[in-house]
Amino acid sequence: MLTMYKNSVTRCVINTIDIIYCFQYTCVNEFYIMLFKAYYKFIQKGSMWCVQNLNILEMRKIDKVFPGVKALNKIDFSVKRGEVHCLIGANGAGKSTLMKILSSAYTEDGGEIFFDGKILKSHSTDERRKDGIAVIYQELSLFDELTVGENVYMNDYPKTRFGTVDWKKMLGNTQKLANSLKIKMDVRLKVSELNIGQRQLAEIMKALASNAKLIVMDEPSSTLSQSEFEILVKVIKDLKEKGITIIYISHHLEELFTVGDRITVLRDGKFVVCKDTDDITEDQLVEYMTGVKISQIQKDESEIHKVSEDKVLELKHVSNHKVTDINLSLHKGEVVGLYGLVGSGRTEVLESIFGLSPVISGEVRIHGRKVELRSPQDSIRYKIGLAPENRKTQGLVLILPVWENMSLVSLLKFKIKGRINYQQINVECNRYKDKLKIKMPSVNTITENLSGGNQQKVILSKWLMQDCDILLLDEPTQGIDVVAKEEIYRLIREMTIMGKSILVVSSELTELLRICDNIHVMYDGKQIISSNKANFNQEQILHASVVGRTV
Amino acid sequence: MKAKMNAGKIIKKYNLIFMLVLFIVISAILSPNFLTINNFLNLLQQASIPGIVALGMTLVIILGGIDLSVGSVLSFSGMIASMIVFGFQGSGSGIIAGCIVSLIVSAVMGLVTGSLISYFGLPPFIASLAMMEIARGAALLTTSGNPVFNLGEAFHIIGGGFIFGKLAISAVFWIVLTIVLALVLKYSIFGRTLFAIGGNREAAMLSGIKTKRNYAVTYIICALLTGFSGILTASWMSTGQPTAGTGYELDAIAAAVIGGASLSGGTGSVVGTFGGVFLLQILTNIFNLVGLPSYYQRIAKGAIIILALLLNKFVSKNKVK
Amino acid sequence: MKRKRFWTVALILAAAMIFYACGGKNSGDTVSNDSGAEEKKEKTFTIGFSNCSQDTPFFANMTPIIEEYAKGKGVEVISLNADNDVSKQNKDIQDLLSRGIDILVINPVNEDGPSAGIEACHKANVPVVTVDKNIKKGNTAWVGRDNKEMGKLVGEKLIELLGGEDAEGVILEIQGTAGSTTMMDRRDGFHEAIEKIPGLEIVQSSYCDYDRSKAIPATQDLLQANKNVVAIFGHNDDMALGAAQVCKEQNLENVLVCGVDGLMEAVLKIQEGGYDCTASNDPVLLGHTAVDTALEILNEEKVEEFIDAGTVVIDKSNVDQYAEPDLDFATMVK
Repeated sequence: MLTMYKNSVTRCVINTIDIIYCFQYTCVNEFYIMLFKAYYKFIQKGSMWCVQNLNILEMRKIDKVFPGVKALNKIDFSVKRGEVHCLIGANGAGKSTLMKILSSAYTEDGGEIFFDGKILKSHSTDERRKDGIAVIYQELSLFDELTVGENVYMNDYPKTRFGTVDWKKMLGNTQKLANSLKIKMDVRLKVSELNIGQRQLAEIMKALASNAKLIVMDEPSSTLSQSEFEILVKVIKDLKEKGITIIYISHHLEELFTVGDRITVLRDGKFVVCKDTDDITEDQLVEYMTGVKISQIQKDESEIHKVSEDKVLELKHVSNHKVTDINLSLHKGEVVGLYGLVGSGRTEVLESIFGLSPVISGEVRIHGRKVELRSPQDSIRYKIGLAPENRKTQGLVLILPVWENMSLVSLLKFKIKGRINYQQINVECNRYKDKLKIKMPSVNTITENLSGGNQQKVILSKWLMQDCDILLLDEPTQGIDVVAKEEIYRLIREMTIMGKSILVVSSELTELLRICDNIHVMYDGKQIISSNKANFNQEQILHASVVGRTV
Repeated sequence: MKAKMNAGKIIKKYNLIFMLVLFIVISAILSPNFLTINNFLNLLQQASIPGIVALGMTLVIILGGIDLSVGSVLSFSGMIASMIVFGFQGSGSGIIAGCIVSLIVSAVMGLVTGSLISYFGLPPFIASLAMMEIARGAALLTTSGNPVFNLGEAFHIIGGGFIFGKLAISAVFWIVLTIVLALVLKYSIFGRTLFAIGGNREAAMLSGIKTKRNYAVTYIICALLTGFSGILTASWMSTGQPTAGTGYELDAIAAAVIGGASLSGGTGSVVGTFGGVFLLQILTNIFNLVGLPSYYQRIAKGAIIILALLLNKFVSKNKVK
Repeated sequence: MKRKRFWTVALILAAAMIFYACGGKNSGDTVSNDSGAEEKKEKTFTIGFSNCSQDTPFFANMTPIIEEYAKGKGVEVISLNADNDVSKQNKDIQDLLSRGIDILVINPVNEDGPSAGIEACHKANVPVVTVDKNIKKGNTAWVGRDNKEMGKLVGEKLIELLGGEDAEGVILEIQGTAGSTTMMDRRDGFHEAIEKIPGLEIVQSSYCDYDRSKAIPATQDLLQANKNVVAIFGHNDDMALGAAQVCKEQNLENVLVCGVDGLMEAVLKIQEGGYDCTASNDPVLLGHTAVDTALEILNEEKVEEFIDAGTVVIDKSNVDQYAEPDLDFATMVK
């Protein structure tokens, strides 16, 4: 808009000057010309000043293209000075890309960025940091073996007059920073000795040390406990009082309403809406993010499906090196959930079913027959598949293309005349790509480039291709955005309709309550309670998982 | 659609062809004797033995491992073959016996190395380094360091013979083995599992692949190829030399990496390695033709390997991004 | 975990015991016992022999030759092998000294090399005799050969076989290990002879380290690059034999091939055809002379500083005297 304004004013001025010039050239005309120019410049600067003083950041018409995909499409994103502005959207919507362009990790293909009154011209991350933009990434960028102080002042060690590092000053300053944020921390400790919440805070201190005016927090709470999150909220409030602006990115929608002033929603690389947190509800946010009305989703889920009487998997008094006396059964078409705190032994139960952890006592029965599962190959032969807890390091070979990951287990199927038939693999993989709606340029894309949700779908395709009947899912939606989560839930439902049976381990109780027919609670290697969908009691389950016994 | 490797790898492959062409053109300019059929056939023969070794090394590198013992295994197996052939006075049965025994011995060494790494969890670098020392010592021990000669004309044909007059038999072996291994890597399940294991061993294991077994088997294959090269060497030189094969492991690794393999595993191509070996041999050849003094040869070779790898990286990064 | 520890300790103990029992035997390290020691209990000399390496037949042969000859003379020998590593050779000398040798016979890795070891010998009052290669200073005597002479003799014989003063053409010189005095002497001697004939030109190869597998590709490439090659001279027979093989494969029967060392394979080839001449570098005579010199020193007799073990040019005319398939090298000892 401003450009149009600029253009029309310029045109007017130039026309006027032309006309005057056509008449006699006098000093008076020149004077008028100067006057017009000055006036025009004043208008331009004035309007910009007004807008920019209000907004600390303005990203205008930002474009970003990657080979084969337009990641950002003329995005307009502005943040007011001193506010906490939340940025949300599905994975692949463009939030991380936009923030990387802000920090200059990526270079935009179109558009411009105004920060604190001036256009950001240089494309070095160092310059952006000096300008006052600090980004705290999800993975954190701290060095484990260095102390807090060294990390905080990493980019700018205070120096003595000899040029050496002034350790005393560094420690002092860091302590002052911690105090100003009212955080209790021993800044002499190495980062590896801090817990995850404290590391988060150390990152914030690092941002402050470089005099950041704008701090971007990318998924800060994904690894925090409830109490640590509360400390974070307090710190954000303090930062706000100091006049520092915050961009807050998170999948946990409830949080946005706790800390945020305004929310911007991105979808498929385009700007959707920007609203005050008071003017929007969680359901509306999900609608904006997915583009699908909530009521539709609820309708799908209310379709009841029958669980058959057929017991496909049964664990009778199973114990291994970590768990003792586990009893559960899985019927055809059933979804059974395992809930518990980290370390309660849920993954170890799955390990025994997948042949990774020898069963010390008790028995595992498949379709009523006792089986010995000594290796993954044994379990696979019994049509069991495992989607491990850590997608990237356990579930996929990231450097290989998607088709290769998908067909990894079922390669034998594709052998004709002694050689692998690549055409058939291609056809099959594309079939699963469509069926599971996996978003990627093609089945030849390197798996590393897919988003978390799509990677999880590749893992599921792998087992579906092998015609597995029993699927063990360990934290299937961890680190996946809202939209993809819904799709995974839909998939799970479809699989049960197809007759498959699912055993899910999850740390999100709401998720289990939604998709499971039965939930077992574990604590410290033991099974505490089990409940059926008909009488799920959230408090009871939570209590059992934390305390380790029934009420 | 043939579901081939993605764009990046194809470009890397063409990149290798481009480098080969560049080298050939520069060499042809530097020496008029380069671009002759005779020289080309010489090149093939000279490159064939290191080439077969490099094939085995490529498999191991794709797997995410490494085998530093190839040079020593080559000489040890050569010594065994030579001693048996000499013992049977160069007769046919001696040759057959010598080949079989030396291949068995190589396979055993490969099995040991592979098992140490996959079943006992030793780091590949150390395990194969240790085997390198053991095999070298064993080779020197067989004849107290003396070479074995007088192996007879019949034995000489395997590694030093020609077909159609001028094409070296060893070169034929090299080409055939390259094609066979390329087919195995592409069309056999075992071959595909190598990429998976090399790319992410745990994920491969969790997908039902017998990683430990395949690991050991690959090392055995590499050792067999190396053992075969040892027989070819002894045959070509008409002597069993306990010092043969020194330094072959580094050339093999360089060739494999130039050909597109990555030392972190999961990537590699035997056809690429073929090109890499050829490239390295062209270097030595042109240096000889031009008369470059020995020490300069080594410096130049190292510098050119670095340049080739940088070019690889630069090209793939630019095109795929 | 505890079980693992127990077995580790047990294994280490077992290994230690085995090593102790075997007395640390390895391939280059032998102790030969003196059978006549019981008779002359008062003064059995011990010679320490530090060999530079085992990786060519020549060096590898030296050790058993010296040991056997010394045994025959009633002298003990302890030999070690330095694997072409100067620092190892220094350590070897220290080891020998601590085992109480009376005299050191050494084939040094290079002429500067084991100075620390030689120093130690002086301090221990142990005389030093060099064999085959010499050191710069510190030795009482050097038993060797005039490699320059050998190169020259071969060159002169080659000129004779090529037709004397009017000989014309290119001679390929396949070089040995760079920096080795032996190599340089042979090269210089050969050049000295050839330079006298204006029509002959020498083209040198890269350093092939006395290794046949390097000599063959080098020869192939040089033959590609040079036309009108009339002869090939290898700094040792091993390499020259490789060159001869290439000539045979490429049907270059008229190219003369010659080398140095008197390697039996070469001598036999002179007999059957395909190889033309060599200068003997008889390790047997060399070893015997070395031991004899050592004994003379030990018996406090005067010795020369340089003792030439002698050489002879072997070609078709006299090859029958030297061809003996059981030996590794042509020997002048009858």
